[in-house]
Amino acid sequence: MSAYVRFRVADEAYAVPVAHVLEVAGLGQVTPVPGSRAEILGVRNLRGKILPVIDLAALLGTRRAGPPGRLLVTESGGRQAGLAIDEVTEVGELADLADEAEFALLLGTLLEDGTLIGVLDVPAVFDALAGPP
Amino acid sequence: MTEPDAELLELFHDETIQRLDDMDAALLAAESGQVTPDTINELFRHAHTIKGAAGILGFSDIAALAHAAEDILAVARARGTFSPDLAAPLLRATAALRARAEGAAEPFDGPLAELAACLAAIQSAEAGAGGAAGKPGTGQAPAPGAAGETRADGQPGADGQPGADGQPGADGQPGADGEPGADGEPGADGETGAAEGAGAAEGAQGGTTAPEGGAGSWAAREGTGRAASLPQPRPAPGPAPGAPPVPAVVAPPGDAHPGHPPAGSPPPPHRPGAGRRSVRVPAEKIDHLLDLVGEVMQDRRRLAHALGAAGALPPDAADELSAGERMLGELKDSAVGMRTLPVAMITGPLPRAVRDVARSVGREVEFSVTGAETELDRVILEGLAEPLTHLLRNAVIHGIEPPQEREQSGKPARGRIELRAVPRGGLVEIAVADDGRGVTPEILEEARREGSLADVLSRAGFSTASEVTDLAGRGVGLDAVKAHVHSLGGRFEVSSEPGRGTTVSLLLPVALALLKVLLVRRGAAVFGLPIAGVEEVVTVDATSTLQGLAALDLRGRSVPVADLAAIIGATAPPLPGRPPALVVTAGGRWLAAACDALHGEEEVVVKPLGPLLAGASGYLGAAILGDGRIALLVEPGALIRGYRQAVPRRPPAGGLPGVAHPPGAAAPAGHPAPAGHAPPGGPAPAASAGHAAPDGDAPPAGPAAPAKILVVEDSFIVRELQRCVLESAGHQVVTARDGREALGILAADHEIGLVVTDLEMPVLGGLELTRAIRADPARPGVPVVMVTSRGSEEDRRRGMDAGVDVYIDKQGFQQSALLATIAELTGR
Repeated sequence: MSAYVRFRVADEAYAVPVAHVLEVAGLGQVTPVPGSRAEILGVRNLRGKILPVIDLAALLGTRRAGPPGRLLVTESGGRQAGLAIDEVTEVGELADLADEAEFALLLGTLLEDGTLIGVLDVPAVFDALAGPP
Repeated sequence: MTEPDAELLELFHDETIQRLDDMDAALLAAESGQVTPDTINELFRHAHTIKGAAGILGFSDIAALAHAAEDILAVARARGTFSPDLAAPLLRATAALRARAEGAAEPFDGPLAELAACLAAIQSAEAGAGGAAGKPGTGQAPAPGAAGETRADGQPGADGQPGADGQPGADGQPGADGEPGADGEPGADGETGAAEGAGAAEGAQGGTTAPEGGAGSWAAREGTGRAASLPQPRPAPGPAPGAPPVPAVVAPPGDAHPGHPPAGSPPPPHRPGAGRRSVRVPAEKIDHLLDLVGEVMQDRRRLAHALGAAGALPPDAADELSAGERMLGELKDSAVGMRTLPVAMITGPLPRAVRDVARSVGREVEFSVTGAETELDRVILEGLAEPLTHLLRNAVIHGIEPPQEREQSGKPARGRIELRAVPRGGLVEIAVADDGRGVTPEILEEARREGSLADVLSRAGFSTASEVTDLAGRGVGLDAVKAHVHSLGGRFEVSSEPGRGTTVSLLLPVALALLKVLLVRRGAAVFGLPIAGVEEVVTVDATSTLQGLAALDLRGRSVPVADLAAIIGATAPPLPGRPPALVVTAGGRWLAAACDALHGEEEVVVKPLGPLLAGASGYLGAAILGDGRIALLVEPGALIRGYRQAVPRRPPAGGLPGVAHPPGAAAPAGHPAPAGHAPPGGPAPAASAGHAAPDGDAPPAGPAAPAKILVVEDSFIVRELQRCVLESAGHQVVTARDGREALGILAADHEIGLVVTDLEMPVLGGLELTRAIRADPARPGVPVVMVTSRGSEEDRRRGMDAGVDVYIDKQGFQQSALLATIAELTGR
């Protein structure tokens, strides 16, 4: 059992280890950065710091009905980024991962009360975006 | 402000003391048998770094002693063992260095002789194992005489310069004044024993050993009454400190030691640094302070603006405001001052470099540095050493004529090259000026047609040397220097007069973190362009079109006009009528970028966009404006590149002075690909139709497209050089500064068909990179070419073991050899 922040992107359920989460914030005003990858919505000013905002739905290949509502500010290896999500559903413990990840960006998946939850691999998400577009 | 020399010395002093502290701790541990390979490595690195820094500052004796210590540690490192016996002599050496740093002036003969004996001992012990114990003692036997002799003959070089023959040191002999050790070598062990704990113990156990003669010289001597100081490094023999900079004569006959302190020159009577202590502060703390100051300034500007808008202020309040503004200005200056260092920091090795190049090509050159006290951001300064060396090299090789030729044209046989640093507002101009042949009238004419001389000369591959002597032709290197200056938000200029000389100027921001920018609005976004990079601002009213592209007439020059949003790939509503436009120039091309409105000039705090946005090139960073909004800071050169990429794709629709940009396509390219070269993934119709790009630099005819090559190299000059060579052969090139960055790029970009890498790089070296590539099942058989200056057979073998396909020696690096190798490896 470990602690996770659970959240929703489109109608899919995901979780991320709390160790990677700095805070949950509003989406704020996001300034697009022309020339960046399509999965990066832009940058926002988070208390004087420039924070890149990742369009998690685009990165995970899910389809979202409306604009994202919340920002999950995450950190890994000194890199920080906001993950644009729809909403945080819960913070709490989750059972151990049931399966090995079949997806590049997931640590694994698990089933809880009939809901499939994907556990996000934050360093992998950052790595996937770090190269040239 | 204090004089720069004092600041430099303080920095060196502090760093050296810190390193000596670390060395002592490690040596004491080693003496009691606690030693790991890491310890030896660390010791070696400290000695090596002290040697390097001392050498740059002209403390040749300190460098020599550190070098002697390094030699011993190198042997220990190679063997992986450190005999506890080695600790004592090394501790004596560090004590001698420390005493010098604290102000003592004794020569290092004693410690030098001891270390030399010690080195000989461990080297001779190499064959006969086990006999190392006690060797240092016996090895020192001949030393007393030697040490005594050197000191007796008047301490050749009070600066202890080994081999400084012909430099009479008798005059002045600074160490001689009433210092106990200077006159009594034989009995020195007794005296110093009383003064210094550890040293005394060594002396007692050593009994008859020689170094004790020198021991008197390394005893710390606080309280002898002389101001504690480091020896004053003088770039040239010359007048008293504080006098205007003296030209450092480079190759006058008979001056064999330019840049070395004159032997026996008396210590300055008063040192401003005496007794002053400095505090070591992590750079991030200073950056944070600077950030805050910048933000407070912006905040204040907003407040003043709001108050001004509210109506007339009471006179008192207005006075308070402007007083606060002044104080804030001072606060900013001192915060910036903490990050800046004098240009002198990097000019030390230049006279020698100029002399060496001049000798190798048969030129006579007098080199001088002025304005060395001018301060620049530490990071900018560090990145400048290499480009400056390159510019000076150019000036010697391509600028200065051979002596006979100069005399025939009525010039003195000896050419002059001046490096000068001049503060210009918020910028610093660094110029390299020569009185050589200058460029030809034809080139000047071309420059007049094309825009600027800087553009013509820095066009990739351009060289003024009729015979290309080596790869560092003037053009290729200038292109790299210019790109570097632009990436710092600076400006690059060249002026030349045929027959009279050439001046290359770099205009650089004083502080990297603060940049004066012109803020403009386009659509909902605000962009900032460095003031230094904007030629002028115009209003676009009458435009004509050529081939469907809009252009405006700027004093007789036809300058293309495009929508800023279209150039960088942003989405924005149509431009208003008569929009303002920023005129920029790069690579011989001019461009007017039209926007909605100008927001004026502001000094902003530059914040990096961070690693996740590294793929979006063309930005210097971002700034947070007074209202909390973010302005992206655009590198002017990127606008030209973006325009050149955008134009061939689609002509503008309608009468709008703009260029339609395909949605989703990458906007400003990271590198100036040759015109007509299809950008990666770009939807250029010509490329998708399977033909080579239609115009211009089409790759050489062949069945397949040229390879995409990753160049991994930490030296930016070499990196840019290789990029130019490969791009001019039609290859697409991506660059990385070290192995780790390279692996990141390889993971993201699967089109890379070949890797050209250096061997020695920070973070992750070439061998490790090659092994990582070979270990990755996703990319079997990507050819790896290693280009390096370390061409020993052993290195070659290690390279091959790691999986390197071809090994090319940097010394004999030939453009054609590299290209031929690549053609072979890629089967094209």
